[in-house]
Parts: sequence; structure tokens; C-alpha cells
Amino acid sequence: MTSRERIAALLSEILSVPIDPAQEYTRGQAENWDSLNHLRIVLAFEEEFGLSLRPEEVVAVRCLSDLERLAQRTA
Amino acid sequence: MPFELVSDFVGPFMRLWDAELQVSVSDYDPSLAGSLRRGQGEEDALLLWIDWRLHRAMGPEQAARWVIDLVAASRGAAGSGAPVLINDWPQGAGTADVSDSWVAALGGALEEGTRRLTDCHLVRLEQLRKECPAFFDPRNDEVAHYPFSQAATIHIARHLGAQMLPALVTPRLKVVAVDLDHTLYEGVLGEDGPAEVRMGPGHRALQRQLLLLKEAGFILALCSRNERVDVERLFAQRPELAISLADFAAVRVDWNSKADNLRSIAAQLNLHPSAILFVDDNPAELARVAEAAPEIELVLADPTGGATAEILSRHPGLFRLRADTSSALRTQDLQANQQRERLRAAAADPAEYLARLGMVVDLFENHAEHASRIHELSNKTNQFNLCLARLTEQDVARLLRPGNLTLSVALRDALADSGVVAVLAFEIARGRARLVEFLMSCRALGRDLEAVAFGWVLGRLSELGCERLEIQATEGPRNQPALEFLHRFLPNGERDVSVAGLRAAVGRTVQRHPAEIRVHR
Repeated sequence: MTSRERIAALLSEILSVPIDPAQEYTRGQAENWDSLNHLRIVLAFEEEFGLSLRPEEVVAVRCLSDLERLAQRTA
Repeated sequence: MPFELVSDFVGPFMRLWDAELQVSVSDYDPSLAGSLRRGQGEEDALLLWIDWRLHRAMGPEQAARWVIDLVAASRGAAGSGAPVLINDWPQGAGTADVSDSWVAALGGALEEGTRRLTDCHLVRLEQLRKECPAFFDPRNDEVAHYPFSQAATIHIARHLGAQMLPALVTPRLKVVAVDLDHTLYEGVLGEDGPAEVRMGPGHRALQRQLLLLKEAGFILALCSRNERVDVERLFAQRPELAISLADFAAVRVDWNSKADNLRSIAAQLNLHPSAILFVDDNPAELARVAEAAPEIELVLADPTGGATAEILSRHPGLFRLRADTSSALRTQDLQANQQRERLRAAAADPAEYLARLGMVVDLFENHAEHASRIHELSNKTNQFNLCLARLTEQDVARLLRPGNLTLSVALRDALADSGVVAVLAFEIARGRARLVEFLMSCRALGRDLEAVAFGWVLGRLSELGCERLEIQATEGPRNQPALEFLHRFLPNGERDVSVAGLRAAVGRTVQRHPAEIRVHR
């Protein structure tokens, strides 16, 4: 499973929507990507990839690709 | 401040005690008024989850009084509603918006305010902060105004799901029975000898945890396959043992099966075996107990003691929301039960046994100082509990008001002071009384105290002009002793009876009872 697929699965579970890893998925596409689910996404992402994001990175996450770029730190 | 991040984790902890969590979260409501209005349904508990930083413009005492007054007002004159939990606020760098002194004063005022309100309890975030490093995460605060870290979130969820909520909604465990070898110390007493078994920091932590449980009101028991003389030498010769043999209300040190011994401990303490949690390092022993006595809860001990101490500090059912009001009396009274058994065996007949006991029964009528004890007894008495009313603190306050009759019964005899051990509560209206609570601690069984108190209170009901009595008896899983007591006088299952007739029937059984009765009005 690629990082992008793992992130898509994680977003899909938290936001309860099907997400195609081949496509971009942005915060604006999900009504329920609110501040609470944003925290859930970040915490789950950190757990999944063993990372700790800086405060500015947490706020800056806007889409699947942002998370994919952050995940490359573990590569 | 969102609660959803915590509630995500509360459910898994509740499954430890086979409970399911259903959470209904209010809208963001800094005034709390809407949240309190929601809490008038069928909830087991209402949590006011407050970001106290938003209220820092108020003085800390004023802020606490504001929320306490809101809770009191929401319950109205009837004093109804689910138990309420309110969080305090943690001190520390993660909450720079408010000073530590403000937070400390708030905590003190909330502590005092929740103690005064019935069924209102504090979720002590400040205490949880001390137990959990890295309690704060400023990133979470920036994104969602939620200042706590993931680790803190899980810690809070565990406290709610495995400690506070089971203490609120389920009958609790009453006895913690422990093995000795590789549990309370490392080594085998019979082989190594009392001087050679080893005690590390984990064992001392376990011994201290057991003492904390005893202070909280749990009964300690010892259940070990060893020689009694070795065990007595161990406790006499090892000063580093934090716990003494006298701290255990029941001791079974022999070569019988542990399941038999645990059942015998339950019988000695007049408890159902399901009130026992047994701690042993040997999986095979635990498996044998599980097979022979599946109702007993089991914990596999860590031979170093440390993990066992941790488990006992978090085990669902081993948490008290408020300090136990009679823990100091309990162990001594239970130990005296063994002497009572010897007296009973030596006496020529039951009358001689009762006469030798020198019982003094104090009857307190609508005695508000006993409210906490009445609430405590109502929620943990399972066997001699006729109505199973499980009174809330608000119910108790209502039953203690003039117009109702609530009798709290204290007992002492030549061997021990048992404290307040029984309660009978009646609602009275237009010449009719309704028995809504009749219970007695299992420690007091076997001395006809229930008949003495029942006979007296029926006379008192007559004095108050009550001619008829409705008895709200409820059949539960363990309250056969109470139902059998009632059956002695009402063999046909009558539940609406003449007070005079029942008084005569009960009075005949206790007219020669030698107890000295003292009435306090």
C-alpha cells in the first residue's frame, strides 16, 4: 500500500466518505472536515506514519497531497 | 471545548465492564443553560465539559459558584435529574491564559461546591495532569480550542470510562483478595522462608495500593496456599511490608482449593462471590477459580508487583466517587464476625448468643447527617436490600425531609462498633406509608437487627397515624435474604397490609430480643 493509499484510507474512515487515492481530495470537498475532524486526521496521520507535525504544518494541511508530502519525511 | 475527542476513547474503556457508551453532545453552549435543559431525560450522567479559560474574567470562586448555582437551579424543587459531572481545570504551561493561582482557587471552590450538591462530582483534570506527562498540545488548541494532547485525551477517557462511570452506574466490587507468593512479594514463602522472599518497589507500590483501596472502603482478604505459621512470621519479621496481617478482614492460608476458600471468604463476609476480585500470579490457579466460581473477577498478578498496582488503580469497579464513610470500622467489624461465630457455636441457644453480644441499637429518625451513608448503603447493598431503590443523593435528601420517615440504624456490640448498617425509608401521605427502601449491610446479618428495626419502625408509623403500608419489594439477582425475611411475615406475598397487623407479627419474633434500643429524633 502506498503512502497516498494509506492517507486516503485514513481520510475515508474519519470523514466517512469513499476517497479515490488517484484523485485529489481537499478540505472544501467534505462538509464534515471541520476543526474537530481536522484534529482527528492529524492525530491519526501522526500515529500512522510515526511523525510529529509542527504547529504551522498542522494548520497548513488542506488536502490529501499535503499529507502525502508530509509523509515523505519518513521515507 | 470539544468533548468528542475524549468520547472517541471512552467507549473502549467501558467495554472493560461490558457497558456500551451512547453520547449525546450539546451544541457549543458557553452559558450551559441549554446543556442543563437537555439533561432531564434518561441519561446515566450529564457532563458539563467546560473550557474554564473562557470564564477567566470572573473571579475563580465566582466562576465556580456560577456553575454550581446553575446545576442546583436546573434540578428545581423536586431535586430530580441525572448525576452531574463537572471538570476542573489543569494548571501548567499549556494554559498560559489563566494563572495557576486562579486555577487552584477554582479547583478548591468547585471541590467544595460539588460536595455540597447531591449527585454532583468533579472530574479532576488537575489530578489527571499530574499523572500524565505531556498533558498539553498547543497545536490542538490552535486548531480546535482543545488544549490537551492525545496522551492526555486517552488518560481522561480512561478515568471517565473505567473509573467514574462504573462507580456511578453499577454495583461495585467489595473485596480484593490477594495471593502471596509472586504477588505480594517475589519468591516462594514455603521454600525461601520469610526472611528471604524479595520485595522490590513494585511490591511496595502494590501493598500501598491495597491500603489505598482499604481506606476507600474495600475489604481486603488473603487467599494463599501456604503454612499459616510462615505467613505470620513473614508479616512479623519483614518491616518493609507496608501492609499488615490485621489489614485483611478475612484470611485463608491453607491447602484447600482457592475457589473453595474464596467462596468461604464470601460466606464469612456475608457477600455474594461476585463481589470479590481475586489477584494471583498463577494462570492455572486463576483458570481453576474461573471454572469453579465463574462469578469471581480475576486479575493476573505481575510478579514484580508494579503492573498489578497499576491494574488495581484503574480496574473498573475499584473507584469511589466519594470517600467511604465507614471504612475505618469495617475491617474490625468483619474480623469480629469470626469471634461472633465462635460465641454462637458456644452458646446453648440463639437467645443466649444474642444476650452475650450486648447489642446496642441506635435508631436515628430523619437524621440528615447520615445522608451520605444512606446513599452509600443504598447503592452497594445487594443481599439484604428489599426494594433495590438505588437511591440517588437527591432521593435521600427528599426522604429525609419532614413528612417522610427515614430511619438510619447504627449497631454496636461487645465485640465491635458496626456504625450505621441499616436503613428503612417511607413516604407518607394521608394515613398511608410506602416502604421505598429497606436494607441492611451484610456485616450485620445474623443478629435479628432487621426484625428489631422493622418492628420498631412499624410502631412509629402507627404513632404517625399510618394504618396501611405499601411495600415496594423488588426481586433482584442477589436479594433473596431480604425477600425471605419479608416472606416470614407475609407468606402470601401481600404488598398492601395493615400496619398494626404486620407490627404484631414482627413484634412477636423480637419481643425477647435483648438489644438495648436508643432512639434519636
